[in-house]
Parts: sequence; structure tokens; C-alpha cells
Amino acid sequence: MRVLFTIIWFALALLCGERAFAHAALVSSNPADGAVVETAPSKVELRFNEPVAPLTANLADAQGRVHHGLPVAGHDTILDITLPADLPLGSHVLSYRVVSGDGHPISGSVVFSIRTSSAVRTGSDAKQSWDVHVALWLSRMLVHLGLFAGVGGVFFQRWIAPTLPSRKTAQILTILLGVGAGAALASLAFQGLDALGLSLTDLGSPLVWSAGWRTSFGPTIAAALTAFAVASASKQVRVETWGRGLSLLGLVGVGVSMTLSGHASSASPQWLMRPAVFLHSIGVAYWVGALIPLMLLLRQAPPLLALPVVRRFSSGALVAVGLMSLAGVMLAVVQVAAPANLIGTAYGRILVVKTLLVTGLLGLAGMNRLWLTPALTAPAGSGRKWLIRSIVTETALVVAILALAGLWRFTPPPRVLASAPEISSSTSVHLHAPKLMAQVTLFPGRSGATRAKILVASVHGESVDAKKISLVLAKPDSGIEPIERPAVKTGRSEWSVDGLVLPLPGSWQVKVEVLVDDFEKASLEGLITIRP
Amino acid sequence: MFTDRFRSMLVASSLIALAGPALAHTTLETQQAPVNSTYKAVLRVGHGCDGAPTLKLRVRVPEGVIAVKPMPKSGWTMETVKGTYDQPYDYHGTPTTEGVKEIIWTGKLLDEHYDEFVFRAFLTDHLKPDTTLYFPTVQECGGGKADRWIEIPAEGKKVDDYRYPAPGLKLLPAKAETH
Repeated sequence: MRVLFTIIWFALALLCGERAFAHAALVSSNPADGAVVETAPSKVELRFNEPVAPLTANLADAQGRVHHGLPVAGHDTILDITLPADLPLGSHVLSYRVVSGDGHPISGSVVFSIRTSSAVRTGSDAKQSWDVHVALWLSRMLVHLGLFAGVGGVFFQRWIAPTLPSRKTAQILTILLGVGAGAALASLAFQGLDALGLSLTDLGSPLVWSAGWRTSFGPTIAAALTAFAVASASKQVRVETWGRGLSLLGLVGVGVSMTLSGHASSASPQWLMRPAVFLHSIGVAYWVGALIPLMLLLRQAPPLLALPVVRRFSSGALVAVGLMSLAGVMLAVVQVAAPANLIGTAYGRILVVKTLLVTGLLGLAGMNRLWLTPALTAPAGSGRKWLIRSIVTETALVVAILALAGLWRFTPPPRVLASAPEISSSTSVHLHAPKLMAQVTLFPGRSGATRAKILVASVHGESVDAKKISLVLAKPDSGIEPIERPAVKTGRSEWSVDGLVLPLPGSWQVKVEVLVDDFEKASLEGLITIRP
Repeated sequence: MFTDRFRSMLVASSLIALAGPALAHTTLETQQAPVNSTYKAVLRVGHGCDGAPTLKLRVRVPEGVIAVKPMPKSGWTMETVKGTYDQPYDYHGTPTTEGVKEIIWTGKLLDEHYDEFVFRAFLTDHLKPDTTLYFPTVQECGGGKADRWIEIPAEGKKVDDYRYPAPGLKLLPAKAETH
């Protein structure tokens, strides 16, 4: 029967000529290419202009995982591809490979997004709701307070005032560590919301947490949580040497946590900036950590017992504050780049106010050291009362400074503005054909949503007025078939493609098809490397 | 049933694939001809653009091909675009410096129908034998769609590597004069 059918088919094929054996083409899909859908679809329907047989179907999901060999059901011109369950929010690339009646394999990709295009992951945060930003700012401030006052406070108790344990101080430090750890976890989720461009109502989604974790903020939080845990352990340990060691480790954790993310740590030269951030943070932790325990100690302990502790702190503070200020000034110089930026940018204005507050803080500290601490020796003097007042004021200033510094999360430093972040994070490839050359640049040059800029010129460098340009990207080694997008003309010889999604890092095949005039087309091919 | 039928289709089509080049594209019926001869070009259009009907067919005449005479088609209007050649050619003793550079047929051909478009031309001996001469062809369809059969294979590539190859004609050495 089958043989007979084959013979008849063969005969028909010969009689009908090309009609029966034209290449198949994708006519439509559901969800459509580029569509944004509310809920995760269970399948994708592909409709071709003629019968096709499926070869393979793969899905690269929003998290960069590739699901190979998806089940495909075919009936005539329509293929139904069953998608994996529990697809995350974001953009997905479905690749298909089919064979049409003439035996030619045909492949392509359909990009669809659930709820949100992954574009917001790397795009501007213009659409970002302010409530997420406030939550992020507040939680990060609490994390910093926990690190500096909490972990720093444990260090103070262990190293500076081991002779004067205080239950009240211990309780406050426990609260600071606990609040810091809680805020650290919460800030991870807020960071995820911010990264995905979602609102506070989406907090329940596990994707939000993993997205926050995958930002540069993830390691910072991991280090902060470790610092909190180590400091807590230091409080519990009875053996003095162990307690001291752990509290020192906690302090180092504070420094490490701060160097792992943030504008300053990502600035170059890295060998200078990261140690500067580390020293700056440790100095701050030493100083800020001492404030609350000192205040309580001065209230509770007799002045004569308190005096050696205060003296010990004071001599250490000289080193700590010196390092902190030096590193701080250095960071500021690199970040601000030019003096005019101090007033001209939001980052600079925050720095000016912060510097004023820090100057006030230094003034108070100097006063404490030069006059109020020696005054403690005077019997029944008012030195103690003034010293406590001064430290309370310092604490208030510290909170204000942390609140201000937290705003930097939302203001790129002038250094970054000057060097145009797009260029520093983009990736580019130069393509050549006999008559034409093209420069393809992706902003950003990492996996996820991106935008392409295409510059076309003749090999002699003259501008080319192309009729149409399309960009084709594929990564066959990962099962991603060509994603083809038309480019839009944005300048004399500049074209761009918005809303591209490249789900995986690595080497991608890139092809620019230039329609020079009605009858002339040039194909420029090459490889482009996408960062993770 | 579907898979059975499909398997048969695949078997059949693989046999056909062996028999000749892919039949999917807009191609020339006669795919080789000697230079210094008159060539009858029959362009075969097998389908519209992604299902849309063909409304216009434009053929670019390559340099070195002269004395072009398109064949009128009933139901289609025909026009030509004339221009100056890059160099004068000798046409049976007559120097020729200008002629048809583009042929345009305007009409309607449904996606489910097949048609042929014919013209006659002289292949001058300025054309190099043992190379392929391409006639870039643009098929303009309803809904602003267009299939541009204009891709010319780059060095080291095959026609099969392209989705929209230009119709090609393999040039043979000129025949010895017999009259």
C-alpha cells in the first residue's frame, strides 16, 4: 500500500512540477513572534504555508536553560509544540527545525515573553515603580546599619571593651544583627523586583528571588549574611580567643560584602578601587560599631573603669578614621571625575552633603578625643554627660549618612555617565563582504534582552543607502535556530534592531542581509561573543 | 496516516532532489547555454510570496546580455527599462550601446497557480564561458510582500546555501560557426 502510495505521489510530484515542492515557510505562530502573553502557554502552534514534518524543537528559556527535544505533534500545515511546565517570567526563544515537502530542512525561532519582556532586566528603570525603590533603599540601609553598627559593635565588645560586658549592649547588638540579616534577605527580593521591572505585588514569585540573587548584589548579600552569622557566633562563644577571632572575621566580612557590588567596586582600576572600598568599610565599621556600646558603657560603668576603654577606642579610631577618610577621598575622586560634577550631578550633590555630614562627625570625634575624654578623669565633672550627648549626635549623623549613601544605588556616578555605560558594556563585530562592510554592536553585550546597532558602509568607507537590512542571529550548537529581525533605519547609514532576546551567552552566528537596491543583496556573516 | 504519507513524500522528494536542482525557487527552465548565441529564457514561478499572489515580476538583465525581446503575456502588461551598456557590443556586425536593462510584467498569479515568463536575448561573447550568469528577479506580491530571487552565491558557497538564489544560467563555450 505504502509503495503504491509512494509511486502515485512520485508521479504526481513529477506532473505538478514545482507547485508541490516549494519551500515551506512559517506563516504564523501562536503566541506570535515577539508577543507578550499574560500566562505561560502550554504549547506553541506553528502554522506553515504547506505540509511539513517536524525534526526537532528546542526552547531556550528566560533563565538561559535549553530544553531539548520538546514533544511535537503535527497535522498537515500545523505543528503543536508542547512547552515545559512552570516556565519563568521573561523572554523565551522557541527554535524549530522542520523538513518541507522538497526535503529541505527549514529552521527558525519564535520569541515570546511571559508577562514581561526580559528587556526590563537590562533596560532603563524608567518604568520602575517608586515603591520598589523605597523598599530597596530602606532595606539596604538596614543591612548597612546591621553591618556597621551590629558587626562593628560585636568587634568593639570583643576587642575594645572585653572587660565591660553589658547585657543591654548585647541585646541591642542581637537586634541589629537580626534586623540586618532580615533586611539582607528582603533586599535580595527587592533587587530582583528592580532587575525584572516588577512591582511589590510580584514579591511572591520565586523568579524574583533568583533574579535578585543573580545580580551583582547576590554575592554582597551572601557575604553580609555570613558576616552576620559569624558575628552572632562570636557573641555566643565563651572562649575569649575564639570570640575575638570570629568578631574580626565578621569585620572582614563587612569589608568583603561592600567590595562585591556597588558603583565604586566596579570602577577601574579594580586593584585600587576594591581595596579602597574594603578599607573604607572596615574603618566605618570600627567607628560606627563603637558608638552604641560606648554610649551605654558611659551611662552604666563608673567613669574610671570606662576611661581606659574610651582611650583604647580613641587611639584605634585615629587609624580607622584616617584610613576611612583617605580611601573615601580617593573613591570620590575617581567617581566624580571632574569638580563640576559635584554640583552638576545627583551623585555629586549627594557626595557634597555626605561630606558635610562626615565633616561634622569628624568634628565631634575630634572634640571627644581632645576635650571630653580627658574630662572623664575629672571627678564629678559634666564630661561624661557631654560625651554621651556627643555620641548620640554622632549616631544620628551616621544614620543620616547611611541614608544618603543608600541613594547612590539610584544615581550613576559621573565617571559612568562620562564613559557611557552602553559602550563599556557592549559587544561588537566587524563583518566584511566583497563590496560592503558592516559593524554590528549589541547593547548590552550580554545574554538576555539586547538592542543591535548596525553601521553599513562600502569597503571604501563611503556611506551606503540600503533599501532594507535584516539581522539574523543563531546559535546552532545550543539548538537555537536563526532569529531574524528587520532593522529600522535610524541614521544616514545606521540601522537598529530593538527587542532582541539572546537567551544564552557564548559565540553566536551573526548575519546581516543588506538589500542594496531592488536587485542586489549582500550577506555579511561572522561570529559575535555574548557575555553571561 | 500522517507520518506514513509523509514518509512517502520524503522518499519521493529525495528521489526528485537527486533528479535535479531544488524546484522550489524561481528558476530558468534551460540552465545552460553557449555564449555568442541567442538564448530563450523561460522563468518559472512556482508560488507567490508566503501565500500572497504575485502581482509583478521584474527581471534585471545582466551586463553582456543584449538584444532582449520579452514575450508578451495575455492578462499581463509588459514594460521594459532601457539603459546604456557599460561597453558597446557587437550584434551580428551592428555595434550596440544601449538596450533593455529590466523587464517588468504586471498582472496577477495566485499562489496556488504556476506560470512562466519568457524573453529572448543574445549572450555576447564578452561573457566568460564556464561561469554562471545570474538574472536577479524580484517577485512583488500582494500585501507589500516581495520574494527577491537575487542572491548570488559567494565564493565557496553553493546555491543551496541560499534561501532566495537568483536564477542562474551556466555559460558554455561558443559553438563553432557552422554556416
